[in-house]
Amino acid sequence: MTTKDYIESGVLELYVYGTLSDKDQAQVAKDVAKDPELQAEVSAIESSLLKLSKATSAGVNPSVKREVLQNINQKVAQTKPKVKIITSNYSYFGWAAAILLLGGILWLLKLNQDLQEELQMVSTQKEVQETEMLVKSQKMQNLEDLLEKMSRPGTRKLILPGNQINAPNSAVAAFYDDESNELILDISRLPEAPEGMVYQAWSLTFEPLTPNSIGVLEEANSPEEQLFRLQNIPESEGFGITLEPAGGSQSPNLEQLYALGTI
Amino acid sequence: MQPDELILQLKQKNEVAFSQIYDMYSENILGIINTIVNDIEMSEEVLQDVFIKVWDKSESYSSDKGRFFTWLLNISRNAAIDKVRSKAYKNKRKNSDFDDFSFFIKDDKDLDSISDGYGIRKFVDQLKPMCTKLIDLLFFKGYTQKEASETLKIPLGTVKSRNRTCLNSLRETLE
Repeated sequence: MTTKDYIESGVLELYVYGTLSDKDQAQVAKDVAKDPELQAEVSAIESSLLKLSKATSAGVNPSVKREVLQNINQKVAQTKPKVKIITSNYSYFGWAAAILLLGGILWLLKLNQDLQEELQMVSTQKEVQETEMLVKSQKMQNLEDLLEKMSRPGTRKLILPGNQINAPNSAVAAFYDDESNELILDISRLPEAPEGMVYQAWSLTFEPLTPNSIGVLEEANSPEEQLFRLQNIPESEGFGITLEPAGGSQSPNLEQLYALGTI
Repeated sequence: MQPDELILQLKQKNEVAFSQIYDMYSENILGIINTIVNDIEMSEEVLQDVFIKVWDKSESYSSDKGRFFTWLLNISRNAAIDKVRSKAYKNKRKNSDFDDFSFFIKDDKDLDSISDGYGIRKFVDQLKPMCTKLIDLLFFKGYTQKEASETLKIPLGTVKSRNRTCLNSLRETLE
């Protein structure tokens, strides 16, 4: 079929009307695409149909276009910015989450630090208490030892009565074991030693009276420290306690005799 | 002739291109719709629906399948026919006092001589009744050749060529 026959058949008019079957419509579209003469004819047909159909219009009310454009605008606004809002919402959520997370981490770090400090404090307290406990238990041990010594069958209890002038109505208890040469003195009933002075214990043998220093009773200020355990006691017939200047003396000052007793 | 660039932009959802396409075709489309619906208010509703569909479905147009105008024609006729079948249309329907598109074409005296419609009235008045019927059914109403041949009781094989002859007289008038 020649181009002229093709045009004369009238199929191009129906093609522009859009009333051919889908198959024929596609075939004509293909044929037209290949042939410029057919394209020109299609354009001419379309042009006259545009004029004809326009002549049947009573005139479109401008409000129709406004409404259509408004509708399209809403669709555009609903699609495009919606995506934007979603992304920005997500980014807000992201920031909020990041800040919350950071805040959470900082809070946890602070909490951890506080706990560390508290733990440190508690463990220091515990150490202090343990030390105190150790000291106390040592003291207790010492006291127990003393008590054990005092209660041995070989230990003799002596009372050294207080000197009438210096310490009336007082006495010193002494526990003497001449096998181990140990002496325990309880000076808790003597008055407190004045500043710069200490009590000194003496071993005595009589005829002639010979005093031998057996120990300076320092730090005898607290009640717990008023029990003294003295060792390597020479053979004695009696014991005396005098008040001497700090550091002790070579020989006793008998004017400051506080207690004296014989075995 | 076909605004290929605008159509491409329309397919990319360009509102300005859409607006230009509306301006180019809205009168034609309203004319087509109103020859089917015969109610200007409802035709304008259909016109609105048609252009919203054009926006929504612009991706579905392909020049491989035919002319953009043809694509618009098919959407418009279908929308107009749907309207005619609707309950709202049946409730409002007036007695039909028109036969074909020629009823809607204004007299030249109502038109500017430079207007596109000028001369069409004269052409339509000179048109043989069979030509008016053929153009009305095939172009405005979208009948197939078979439907037109049955409605007008003419042989199927002559529909195409008769229609061409009828339309050629219009082209001569316009040129």
